[in-house]
Amino acid sequence: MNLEAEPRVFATTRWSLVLAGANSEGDQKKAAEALAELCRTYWRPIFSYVCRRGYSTENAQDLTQDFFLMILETNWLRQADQGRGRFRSLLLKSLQNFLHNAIDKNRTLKRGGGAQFVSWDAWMAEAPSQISISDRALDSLAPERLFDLRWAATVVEQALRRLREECEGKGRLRLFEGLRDHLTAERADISYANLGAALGVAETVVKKQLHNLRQRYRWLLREEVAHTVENPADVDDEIRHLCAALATAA
Amino acid sequence: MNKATAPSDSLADVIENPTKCPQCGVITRLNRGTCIHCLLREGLEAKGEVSREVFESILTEANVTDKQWRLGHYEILEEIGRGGMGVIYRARQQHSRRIVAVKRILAHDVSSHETLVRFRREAEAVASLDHPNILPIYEISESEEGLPFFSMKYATGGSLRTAAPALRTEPRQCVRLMAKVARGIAYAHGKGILHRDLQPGNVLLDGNGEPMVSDFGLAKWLDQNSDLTGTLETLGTPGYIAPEQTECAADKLTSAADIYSLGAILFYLLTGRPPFVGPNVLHVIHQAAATPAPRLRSLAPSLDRDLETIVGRCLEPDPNARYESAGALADDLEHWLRHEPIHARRVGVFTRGRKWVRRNPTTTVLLASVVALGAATGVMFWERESPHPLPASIAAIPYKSIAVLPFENLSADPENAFFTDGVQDEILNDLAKIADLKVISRTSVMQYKTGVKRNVRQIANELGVAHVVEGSVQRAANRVRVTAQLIDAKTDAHLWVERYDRPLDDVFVIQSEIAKAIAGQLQAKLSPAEKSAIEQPPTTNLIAYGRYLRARKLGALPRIPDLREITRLLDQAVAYDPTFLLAYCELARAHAWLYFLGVDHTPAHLALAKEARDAALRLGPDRGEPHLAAACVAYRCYRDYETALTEVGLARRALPNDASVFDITAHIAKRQGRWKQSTSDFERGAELDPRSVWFPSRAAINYWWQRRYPEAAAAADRAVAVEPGNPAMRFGRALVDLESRADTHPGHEAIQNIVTEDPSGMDPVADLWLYFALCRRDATEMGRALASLPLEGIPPRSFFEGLAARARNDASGAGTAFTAARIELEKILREQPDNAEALSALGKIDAALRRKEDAVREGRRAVELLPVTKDAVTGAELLRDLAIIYAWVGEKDLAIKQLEEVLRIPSELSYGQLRLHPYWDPLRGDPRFEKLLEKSKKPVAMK
Repeated sequence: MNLEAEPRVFATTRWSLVLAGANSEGDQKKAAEALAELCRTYWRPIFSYVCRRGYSTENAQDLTQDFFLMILETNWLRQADQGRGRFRSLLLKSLQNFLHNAIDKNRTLKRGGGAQFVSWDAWMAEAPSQISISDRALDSLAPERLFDLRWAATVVEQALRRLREECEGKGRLRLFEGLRDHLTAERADISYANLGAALGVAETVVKKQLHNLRQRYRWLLREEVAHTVENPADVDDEIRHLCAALATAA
Repeated sequence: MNKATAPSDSLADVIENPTKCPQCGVITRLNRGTCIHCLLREGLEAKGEVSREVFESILTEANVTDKQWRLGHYEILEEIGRGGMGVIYRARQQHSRRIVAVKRILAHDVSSHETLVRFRREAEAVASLDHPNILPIYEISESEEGLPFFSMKYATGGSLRTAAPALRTEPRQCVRLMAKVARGIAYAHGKGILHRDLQPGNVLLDGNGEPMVSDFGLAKWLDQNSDLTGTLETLGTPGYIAPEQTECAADKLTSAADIYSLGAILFYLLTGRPPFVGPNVLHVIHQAAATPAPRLRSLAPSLDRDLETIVGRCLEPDPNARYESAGALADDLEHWLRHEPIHARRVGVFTRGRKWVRRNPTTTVLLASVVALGAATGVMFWERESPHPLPASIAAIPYKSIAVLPFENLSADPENAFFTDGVQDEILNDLAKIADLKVISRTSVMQYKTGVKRNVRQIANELGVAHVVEGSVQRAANRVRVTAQLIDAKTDAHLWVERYDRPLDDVFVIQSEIAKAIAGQLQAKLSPAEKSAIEQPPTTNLIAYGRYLRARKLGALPRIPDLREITRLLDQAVAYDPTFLLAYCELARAHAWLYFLGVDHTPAHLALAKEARDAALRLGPDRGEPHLAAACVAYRCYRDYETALTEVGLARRALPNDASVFDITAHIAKRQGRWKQSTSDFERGAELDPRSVWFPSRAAINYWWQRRYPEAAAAADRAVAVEPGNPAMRFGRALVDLESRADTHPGHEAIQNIVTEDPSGMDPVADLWLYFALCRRDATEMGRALASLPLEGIPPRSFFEGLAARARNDASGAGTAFTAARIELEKILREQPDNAEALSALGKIDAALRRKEDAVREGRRAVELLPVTKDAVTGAELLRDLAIIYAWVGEKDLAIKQLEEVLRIPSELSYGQLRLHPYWDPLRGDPRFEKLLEKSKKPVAMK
């Protein structure tokens, strides 16, 4: 088996679909679905940002839902600054504008008609997410920084979730659970013997499987990031941006 | 839709002790503690990736399949917490695909019928409740394996604990929430169910921020009396439980207890801390019972007085002064929200002054907790007074606890049993040096022999540990093969396994590697000093090591002949290796014992003890063992308690798991007349060494000396329970009946049983046997006991032969024996003129030989030399001896007076002894003596 990197085929990242749709060259339906999928994944950074901006949590929930409604139902992209770029940065900018208007117009917040956003309960139950940061960071973090932090966490959690599902799908969940904490560890810090003992396999098997998981994780992570950029070449840059956000929050 | 509070992950959880990722230095983490930054960086280019097909094909090569984890109709997704009795999972209901929480009982608790009953009770009680602010239970069921579990709503909003930081700035929100919680509790009360463990962690929040009370783990029907609530295995969560809840009157608890908790939670939400805080559980409980709660506004001045009043009324120490119902509390909270006047009386100066002085709750709490500890370790403790607060984790077995069981000897040569024991012993000692670990003493683990199939779970339970180490040693030619494994006692899972195949000389390296690996597995913190102590091999000379091991094998409860052999072996050990620190330590202790027992009470011998001690201190001034040896020498050779205690203090730091530390302090305390402390230290030693008869039997002696016979019997029973086959313990227990009631039947029966099983079974307790035989006036028994007594000692055997002869009315036989004894004692006194015990023994002999003046002089001088103030144990013996001397020389008045004096302090005098022993024959019939007999039935009045 050739374990070397295979040529990436990301022709249809979600974001590129959305952009294509906005240009009315692409399939509108596909674009809408892609956008909805993106929103479903990345609502947490939005919500965190709104909370951080000082809204009460009741209001933050409403605003978040309205924001997504706005994005999904209107020709958002056409109206947005089409400097393109990344979904993340565009989303944040739109959110900032949206909130600005919301304050201005002192809107009575209401539920959108037909579009039934999935309930908070079910969303959170499906994919619990918790990040932990130092209390210094919590106090001093600008909302934009928190947004990036949450975004980074979401990206990573998504990749891990998919990795888990792929393992689970092949009946190897136990293997995943046993090795998932060592995906980024240095070789020297890993006791392959202990892991082997815990899983009931030889050390060599552990090494091979861990390597395998790592590689697959990377693939999934990069794909996840790629969904939010237009050009696959931007993936590294996007990752670096998120890394920088984390480093400064430390 | 009702949106009350933030879902828990709106912002982020705050890490309390943020640590930097060792690889990248970033603090921010995912909830599992993994570093997000590192996980992101993994995604940067120039590292390999793999497609799904390839990934899956490699994945499926691994032979690590899952068993689909189902419980009933639920697919288990992940564990989200562990409660008191059970585990909680996030799960998916099969048909509806709904996400729920599932709580099931921990597997190893299933065997306990009581646990099963409680579990079922909890589930049924709560399932019957239907209220928006009570976490609904969906289904109560049993899995295929018969494991009971129940499913309930999965609360996605976290708990009040996680939401608390955000709520602190929103008092109205806090009140709104608690009003709802109070309504829920009021509903439950209406159904006859108390919660009893309300605390912020138990109030969960759904996605809309609605509060829901969960974990009615200690729920109790208000109008039923369950005998299971007698043992309080958990006391609720300390900061939030009502003071009366600690007084063990479980079935007298009312709804007021829950109201207190509600107030405490509100207090916490508003101020950031519960009303009472402290360094440990017991401190908090004691405070809550003994002092009034702080006023709300003393911690949060911006809050208004009405709110303070409401909270204050909940936290009234007197349950009757609180809100009469949770509904009334909810009413007032709602009034407050609507800015309406509240109904609670303003707490005035006078009402505050009312009584909250209750009978000391500490004792009953300790009793409950100690009972719980007893249940956990399988040994019941009956100590009613304990001056030291027990550590917070009393009822739980700490995770970082371990027992190193005897290793299996796989060598053909049985001689290598020593070697195998040595390997295990060293590993045990190494681990015992680690303060962050609780390690069970050697004597307790040695009885779990190899060759018998071990029930690890049961052993761990008996010893009170969460982990067990097993292993094997095989030695052949110049190589050694060692295997070791670390086992989680609850699940039987092998957490760590390692095999070593090395040259024989590497055996010490293996031992320290194993110890370090195990410590690492348990994540025990290892200080640099501990690490270097572990890495230092005891010796590099295997012959010396062999001698040392053999000496240790003899050493558990050494008797005189053994002690001589021990010193011989150890002398050889240090001859082979003059840097063998541990051998010097053991040598010093052995010499100290010999000196103490009077066998070789000469300055020359003293010098040997000191020499060994000094060598040890020179070789390892920072190690604990030399200081322990120095403590022994100071105590046993010089009666220098201060130095001994100082040395013990130094030793204790380096030897945190060494039970013998407590042995020394307990004995010293006794000698200083601090009996309570002494008994308590014996109990602590028992904790570290739960399978040793030594500590409970010492405790029994303490009680016996204080004439607290029921407790002495209980302690002796404990010792017997540890080693039912041990004749000394059985006989000791039987003697309690003699002392307390002058009943010799149990003792007689015990002797018969013991010698039937083993004719030499009574030999280790020959001195007690003789004492017993004298009380029974049984000449044959006396003869048998005498035959088993060692010749040497103070007093020597000839003295006892004289006693026996006298009891038989054999005047000439007595005369001969006593005269022989006199010669021996004079010899001893020539060498040690100030040996008080020898002098006293001489006094008794002279009294028997009718040398009145000499006898009285010697007895009095002995008391002068060693008064009770200097040694409460031997001093008391000497006082009693003086009474014997007076009685035997015909000085009845003096004898009675002396006896009166002795009965006032702890001593070996007992009702049984006075009644039965030939010592006191000259006084029988005297009415004053009869009065003293009555007095001796009562315990010693301790200050």
